[in-house]
Amino acid sequence: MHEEETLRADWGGDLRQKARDRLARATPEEAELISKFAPILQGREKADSVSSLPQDVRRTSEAVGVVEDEASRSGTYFQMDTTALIRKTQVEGLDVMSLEDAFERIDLKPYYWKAVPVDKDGFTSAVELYGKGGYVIIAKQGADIELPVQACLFMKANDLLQAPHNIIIAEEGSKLNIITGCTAMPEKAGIHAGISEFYVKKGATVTFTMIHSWTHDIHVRPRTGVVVEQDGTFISHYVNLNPLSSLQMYPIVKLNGAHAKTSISSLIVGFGRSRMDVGSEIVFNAADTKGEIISKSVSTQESTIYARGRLTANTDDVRGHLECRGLIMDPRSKMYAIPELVGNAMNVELTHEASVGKLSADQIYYLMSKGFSNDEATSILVRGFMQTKIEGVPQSLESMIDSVTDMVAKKAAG
Amino acid sequence: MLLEVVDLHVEVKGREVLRGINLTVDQGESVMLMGPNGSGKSSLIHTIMGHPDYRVTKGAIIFQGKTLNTLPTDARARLGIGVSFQLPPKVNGVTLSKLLSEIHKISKNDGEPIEKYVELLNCSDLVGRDMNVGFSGGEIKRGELLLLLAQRPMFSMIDEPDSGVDVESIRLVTKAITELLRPRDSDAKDRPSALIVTHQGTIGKHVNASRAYIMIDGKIACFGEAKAIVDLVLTRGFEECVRCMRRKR
Repeated sequence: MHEEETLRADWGGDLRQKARDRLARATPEEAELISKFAPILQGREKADSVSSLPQDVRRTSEAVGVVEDEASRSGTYFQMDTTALIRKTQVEGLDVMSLEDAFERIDLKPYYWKAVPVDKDGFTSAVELYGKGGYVIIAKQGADIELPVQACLFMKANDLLQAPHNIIIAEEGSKLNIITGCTAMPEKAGIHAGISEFYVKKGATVTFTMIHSWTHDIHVRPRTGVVVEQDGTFISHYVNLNPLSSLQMYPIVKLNGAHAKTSISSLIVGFGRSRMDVGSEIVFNAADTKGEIISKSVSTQESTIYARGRLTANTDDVRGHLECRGLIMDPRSKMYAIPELVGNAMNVELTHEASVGKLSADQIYYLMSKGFSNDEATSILVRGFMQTKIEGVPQSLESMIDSVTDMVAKKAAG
Repeated sequence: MLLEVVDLHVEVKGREVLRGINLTVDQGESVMLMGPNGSGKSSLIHTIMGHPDYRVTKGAIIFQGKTLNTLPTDARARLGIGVSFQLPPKVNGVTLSKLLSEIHKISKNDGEPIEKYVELLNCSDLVGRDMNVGFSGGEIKRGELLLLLAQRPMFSMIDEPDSGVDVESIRLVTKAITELLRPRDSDAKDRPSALIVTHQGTIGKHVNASRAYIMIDGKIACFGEAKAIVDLVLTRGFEECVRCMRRKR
């Protein structure tokens, strides 16, 4: 379809071949989206800090959590189209690199396509064959990286296939917070197919917040795999704020070590004619593991949202809870909540709650009786609906999530 | 007259729940509304507050000379009508303190600082929790009364403040009602009023009401001086009222 990227490591040949084989069997949708957009090299801007980025880029990336004040971040990665513009590490115990840098500096073999299979689908294959960039973030053993690392994948060129491959490694006992914002310049078409592979080692904690803000003609296909070892914790928040053409994602978190924990929350708002298919799965592979998925979706205008979630227990002594709530704000919008519980062992405790519907008339009446107008009541209830409190979130992330929630509530009630 | 309910007939989903209610509340007056469960007391509150499911088929609700029948709920609240609900809905993600601050934003009178009322109603443990989620019976009433104190309406309707709560809660509830009825200033015109709904009558021993109504089966069965009616209900229950109504018929 396109010219292949050069092989980055001599051990990568088999992976490359698998990707070719898989892409040869691409579904019609995969083939269309991958061939329609090009992995062109663009974004030749020079910038060595967020503040030196062009003003329109800065303003757009601000909306997905990128801050100019780099002192409030432990590191920064900024990719424009297919070029890694900024890679900066500002604290001890941390390493922020581009994928290309990492191939030169460290042995990526134990991590590269280990949490996400290279031939999972046409998009993963396309990332292997045509992808450029992506970040590699490593928290060294025992490092407590208090300030968040910020990363931004920015699409500026038109008709771009942006296919970054991210690898995050939290070594034993480390703590790492990452805020990633993915966004595009207004009026651009394209596809963003990003791979993220997380390795949360023994006793490590990773808090990952991903904020997406796209435009009407962008297709989004992130592919994420997470491996959590003994006593490790993976906390993730996903927020999607704006219209897009189509989105499909289904991160899979494997709890492979005893006492591993995960908490996955997502907040999706469908605008315009967005088609969003967002889910996640927790696979419990070790005893005394715990996991929860909290999925909240609001569909407005003519959007369609599929909210999926699956808990798969492969061993005894695991506990999982899935909460899937959908709020329909417009008669033309559609919402499908699809919770699944899979018990492959007997001594497991998997539960789910799911609901789909409009705001309750009783709640609106209740708030109106306290003096709020219909719009004010709606806004308060939408905010309440989207409120997601998860233990272990650092203050800086919490206040950012709060302000994002406020923005969405205003739009939804608007 | 502050509130005048005239020959009020109300339907909920095609079923008549109020069948010709006449009731008045004067400025500065506390009135008790008593009656067995299911007699229509809460229906009257919801109708006065403008619940969309309660359809007035005949009669009128007049507040400060203005007919309320078609006014939306929030407009009624802005005129100075407030409710402490018996069974308020759970509101996930919205804490009591959030709701208090939102009420503070829209209310005109700055009045007393709300912290004082949080303390008065012993609600400091409650304010951080999502509204009515996992609240006990007593906590629901304290939360509702706290919101009402933040609103400071001219006319409060308090639904079953004494049902399913312990002695300590009754004491707090009584304090809150007394506070709600306290005149805002020396001007007698500004004395707030209340309609207190109870099926047990216990609260009648604690608040200083002037008159009481008894409602049976969607109709006013009896009304008169509060003390006499409360004593009657507390000693003989509503059985006597039902018999008396039959005799009248």
